Amino acid sequence: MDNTYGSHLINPNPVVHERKSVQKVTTSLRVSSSDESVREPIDALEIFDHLRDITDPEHPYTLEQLNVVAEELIEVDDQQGRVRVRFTPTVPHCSMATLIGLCIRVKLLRTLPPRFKIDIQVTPGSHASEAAVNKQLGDKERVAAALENPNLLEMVERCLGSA
Amino acid sequence: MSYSLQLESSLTGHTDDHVWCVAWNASGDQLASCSSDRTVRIWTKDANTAGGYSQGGWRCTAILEDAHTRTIRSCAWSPNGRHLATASFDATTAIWEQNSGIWEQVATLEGHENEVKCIAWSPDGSFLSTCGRDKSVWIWESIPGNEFECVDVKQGHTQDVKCVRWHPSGDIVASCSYDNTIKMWVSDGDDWVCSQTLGAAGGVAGHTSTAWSLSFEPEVGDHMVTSSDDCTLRIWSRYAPLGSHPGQATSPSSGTAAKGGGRSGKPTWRLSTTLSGYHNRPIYSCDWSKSGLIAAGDGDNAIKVYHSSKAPSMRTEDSQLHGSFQWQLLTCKEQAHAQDVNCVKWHPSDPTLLASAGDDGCVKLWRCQP
Repeated sequence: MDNTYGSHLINPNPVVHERKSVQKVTTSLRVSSSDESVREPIDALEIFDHLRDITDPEHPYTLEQLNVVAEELIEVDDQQGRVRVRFTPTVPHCSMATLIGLCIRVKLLRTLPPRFKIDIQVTPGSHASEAAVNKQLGDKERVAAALENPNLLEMVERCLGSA
Repeated sequence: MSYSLQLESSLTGHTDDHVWCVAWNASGDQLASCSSDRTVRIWTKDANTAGGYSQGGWRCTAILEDAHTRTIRSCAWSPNGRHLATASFDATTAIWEQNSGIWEQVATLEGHENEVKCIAWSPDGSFLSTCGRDKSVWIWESIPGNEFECVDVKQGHTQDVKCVRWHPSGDIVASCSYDNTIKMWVSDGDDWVCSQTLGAAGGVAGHTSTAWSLSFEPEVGDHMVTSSDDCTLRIWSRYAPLGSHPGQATSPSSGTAAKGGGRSGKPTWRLSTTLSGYHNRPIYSCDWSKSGLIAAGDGDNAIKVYHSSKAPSMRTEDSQLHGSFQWQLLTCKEQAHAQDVNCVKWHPSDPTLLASAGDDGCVKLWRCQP
């Protein structure tokens, strides 16, 4: 592993899960509507597909393999244009939580239509600083500033390289 | 009577999605907008509107660029309209001067450790205030010859400071922060001291999340409105200092009321109204017009305008006028922008004209009228 984050792993022995054999739902596979004006709804599985292969900042595994993201923790209201993704850090004191959340946000900003409002939060009870992490991830100004930081952006790009 | 917000002009040109801030000059014939594209655009009202400009008589007459290396978060005109100040995530504030329509950068204010988030001129133009991610509020003095000298740096907020504004009297600077509080800074000789923290733990009830913006009631400044991530607007009112009102006794109850942070001899600010239930997402900007309307722009793409049936004048601690404010929604425009509304600003003299900026890259002008 390319160790950019210091010599100490926060979670040296994460539990690794199998990649689920859920069929990838791509736009081309979806049943096309005869009426062009009817919008193809976006669902939780499609969001999950965008996120599952993001690489964890600390381990050579994907967010799906580490159970950081899961389809059942994604809520979509296509009509209202709302997406809420909850993610579960592998350990409650994970200092990578905001970076993981940033990766999820960037990925969704790049893939979802702009009509969606995106909320990224840690799964309730899964992080020691839950409120602080959620607040940071919800602050669009801090997110915008973070993405102008070349070092941080490089880390995000590395995680997204696989997704 | 039912009011509406009618789109008058849509000003496009910024090349990045985020337009963060718009600012009118004092005469109202120019509007500046700043963006993540690292430029400021100056929009000028065409004297010959009949000329048929596609953007409703407003056109971009200048692009200010190459001063900042990152997002320009905030811009503000000096009261005389000759200078424009721009605050950037690159940790600097630039001062621009306009001569015969030609803009030139004449100064750079350095000192903040990282992102500068807001800039405001004092009402007479002799001071500026900036704030930023480094949790500090800076006061700068404008000296002839385009020199700017830092006269004070205020630490006190525990998180980044989102917005600074000058009271119309020029002797109070208010700042609001990611730490959920609003701090009132008052001039005390050469220094500025925090006279009150609104919403601090244990003190008066305040915002429960980031306070994004604030706006004083123009001219008199007896009230101010703040907007927050908690999806509320709060209206705060100024009370005369204890003992300044004839016939007022120093009762134990008024002593308790002042414990919220009021310094003796200084007015205290208290929450008078909370407007909740109107916004579904964070409210990034609010602005109080000279005609008494409050506009608010939010993360749900909406602009909402509120009006009050009554605008009480400065009251004393013992007057029980809480609740006499009847603030109501006057009108709202859902999907005012295709994305978040980052800024709303009323025209300085035309009470029906409102400018807004959004994450859709657009600056828009609205008519608020029946």
